[in-house]
Amino acid sequence: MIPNPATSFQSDDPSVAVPATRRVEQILFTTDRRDTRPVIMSFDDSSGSRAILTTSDTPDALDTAAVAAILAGEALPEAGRRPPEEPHYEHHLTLLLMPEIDPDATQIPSSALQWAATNGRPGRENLVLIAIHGATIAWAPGRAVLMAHPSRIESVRLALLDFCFYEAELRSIEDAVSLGWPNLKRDAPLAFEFDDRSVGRRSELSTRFQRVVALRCRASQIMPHLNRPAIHPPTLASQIGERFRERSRLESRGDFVSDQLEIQERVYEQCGQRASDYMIARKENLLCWMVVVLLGAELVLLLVGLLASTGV
Amino acid sequence: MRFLSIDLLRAAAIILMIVVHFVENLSLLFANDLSVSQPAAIAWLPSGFAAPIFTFLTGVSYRLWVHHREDRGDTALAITKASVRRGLMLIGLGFVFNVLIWLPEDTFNWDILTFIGSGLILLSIMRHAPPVILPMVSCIVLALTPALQSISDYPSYWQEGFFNYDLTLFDIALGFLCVGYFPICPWIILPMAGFAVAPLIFSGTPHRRLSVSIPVIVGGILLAVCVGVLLAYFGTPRSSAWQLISGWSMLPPSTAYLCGTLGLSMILLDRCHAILDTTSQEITPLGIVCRTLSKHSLSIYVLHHAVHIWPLWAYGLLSGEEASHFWQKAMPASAALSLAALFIFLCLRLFLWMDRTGRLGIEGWIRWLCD
Repeated sequence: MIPNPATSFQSDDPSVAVPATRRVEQILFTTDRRDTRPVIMSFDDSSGSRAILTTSDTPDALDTAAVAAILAGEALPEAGRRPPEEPHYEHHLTLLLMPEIDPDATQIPSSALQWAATNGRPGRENLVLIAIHGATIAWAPGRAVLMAHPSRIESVRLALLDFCFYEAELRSIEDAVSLGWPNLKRDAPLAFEFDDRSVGRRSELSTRFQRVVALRCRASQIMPHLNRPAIHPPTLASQIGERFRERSRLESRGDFVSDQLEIQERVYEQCGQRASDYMIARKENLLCWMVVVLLGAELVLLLVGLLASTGV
Repeated sequence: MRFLSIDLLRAAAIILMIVVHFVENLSLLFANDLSVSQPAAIAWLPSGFAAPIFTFLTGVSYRLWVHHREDRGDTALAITKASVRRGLMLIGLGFVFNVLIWLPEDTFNWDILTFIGSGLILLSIMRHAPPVILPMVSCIVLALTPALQSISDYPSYWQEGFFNYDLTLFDIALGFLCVGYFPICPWIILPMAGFAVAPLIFSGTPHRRLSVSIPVIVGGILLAVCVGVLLAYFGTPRSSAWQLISGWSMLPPSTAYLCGTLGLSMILLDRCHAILDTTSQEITPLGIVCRTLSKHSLSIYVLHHAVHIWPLWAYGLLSGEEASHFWQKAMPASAALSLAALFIFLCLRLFLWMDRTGRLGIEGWIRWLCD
C-alpha cells in the first residue's frame, strides 16, 4: 500500500512553516543527502528524494520584491535548471504562495497566472488550474501559484509538492527517452547484425543499455505513485493530488513512457546479445585461424621436404 | 586518396630498382652480401631495400584500397573477387613478362610480378583473419624460412648467380614456395606486414611528428634484432646454415635481411606519413614526380626491363652468340648507371605526358579489366 503523502505529511521543521504573507519559494527536489538546507518533505521513494527549500534564508524584503515582480508581470530570476540531456533526480520548482483569509477571494491575479504559464520552455505552456474548496492552484512544469486559506495552505502545498516531484520525475524520463530515439535509430541495425566495424561501439552500446535500464528502473519506481488509488474519505489535499494527476495525465504518460522504454530496452538488449555472440564467435574464429595457420605451416614444411627429397 | 608518403617511398624504391637492374644486368654484379669486402659492394648494399620497400607498400596500398571499397559500400565478396582478378591478372602478366623478357626458359623463375599476384590473392583471404593472425603468420614464416631453404638445398638452385631450375613440377613448386627469385616464403612477410600496419599508420592524424607509434616501436625492435644478429654473424664462425639466418643476403633472403628491411620500411612509412601527408591539396614538384613514378610503377617495371634487356639479347644474337652472352658484361657500371639516369628522366617525361593526355598505363588497363 503506497501511503499518500498529501494526507500524511506535516513538516516538522518550523523554518519551513508557511508564512502568513505572500512569498516566493524556490524548492529543489534532490537526492543529495549532503544538502543541509531545510527539508520540506521527504518522498516515499527508493531514490531518497527530498524537497528542500532553497530560499529560506532570503530576507523578507527580497521576497516581497519577488512577489511584486511576479504580480507586476515582470520576469523573476529562475533557479538553476539543468538541460534535459541525462536523467537526473534533481528538479526545481518556483512556488508563489498567496495565503488568503477572504474565502471569496479565489481568483489568482492574471499576472501570476501568466508567470506560472511561461516557464521558459517553449511549447510547454500547459498551465493546469484547479479551484477546489476555496483553494486555487495554478501549475505548469517548474512553476506554481498556490492561493488558499492560511490554515489549509500547508497541507495543500505538500500535496502540490508531492505531485510536482513525481511529475518532474516522469517528465525527465520522457525527455531522456525522447533524446534516445535518434541513437536508437542508428543502433537498431546492430540488433540484427554485428560486424568488425561495430566492435568499437560496444562500450557506447553498453552505456546506452545501462541508461535505458536505469530509466526503466526509475519509471517502475515512480509508477505506483502515478497510479495511486483515490483514498476514502477524501481530504482537500488528496483531492488536489488526484485532480492534478488526472489533469496532467500522469497515469497514461507513465504507461506510454514504459512502452517506449520497453522498445528501447529490447533493441539494446538485442544489440548486447549480438555483440556478445560476435565476440565469442570472433574468439572461436581466432582459434580456428591459429589451427589453420599451424597446419598450413606444417603442410608447407612437409611439402618442401617431400619435394626436396623426391625431386632433387 | 593518394598519400605523398607512399608515393615518395614507392618512387624511391622504383628508382633504386631501375638503377640496380641496369647496373646488375648490364655490368658488374655486386652481391647483397656483407661478406664481400669490396668498398663498391658495400656501397651497393642499399640496393637491397628496393624490393622489400616495394612489396611492403603493396600490402599497405591493398589495405587502403580495401578500406576505400568498403567505405564505398562494396560487399566483401565483390572485394574478394576484384582482388583475385587483380592477383590472377598480375600472375598472368608475370608469366608473359618472364617469357618475353627473360625468354621462355625462365617462365617459372617466380619473379616479383607473380609474387605480388600470389600475395594479393593470399591477402584477400587473410584479410578476413583476426588481426593477430597476420603477425603470427609472419613470425612463423620468418622462423620456417631458414629451415625450408636448408631442406630444399637453396644454394643448389643458385650456383650460377640466377635461379637455375629444371622444368619439373618439383622445382617449379619449390621455386614458388622457397627457392625462386621472390618465393612466398619468406617474401609474403612484407606485404602481410604492410597490410597489418597500414591501419595503425593511416588511421591517426598526420603531422604527429614527435609521437612514437606502434609501427615505429615494432620497426625499431626488428632493426635491433637485425643489428644484433649481424653483429653475432661477424663474431662467429660462418656456416651456411648460420648465414641463412644472420647474413645480410637478399638471395637467399636471410632472417637478418628480412628483419632489417621490414623494420626500416615500417619506420620510414610511419615517419613519412607523420611529416609529409597533409590535408592540403597543394602538391610540390617533388610530389608530382613521386606521384607519377608511383602511379605507373608497374608500367615502369615492365618498360625498364624491355628497354635494357631486349637490346642486350638482340646484341648477343647479332654478335652470333647466345642471347644472354653479354648479360652482366655489356658495359662498365658507370655507363649503366648513366643509362639508368637517362631512362628515369625519359620515363618521367613519358608518364607525365600520358597523365596529361589521359592515356592509360598497364595499371590503368588492369584496373579497367578487374574492377
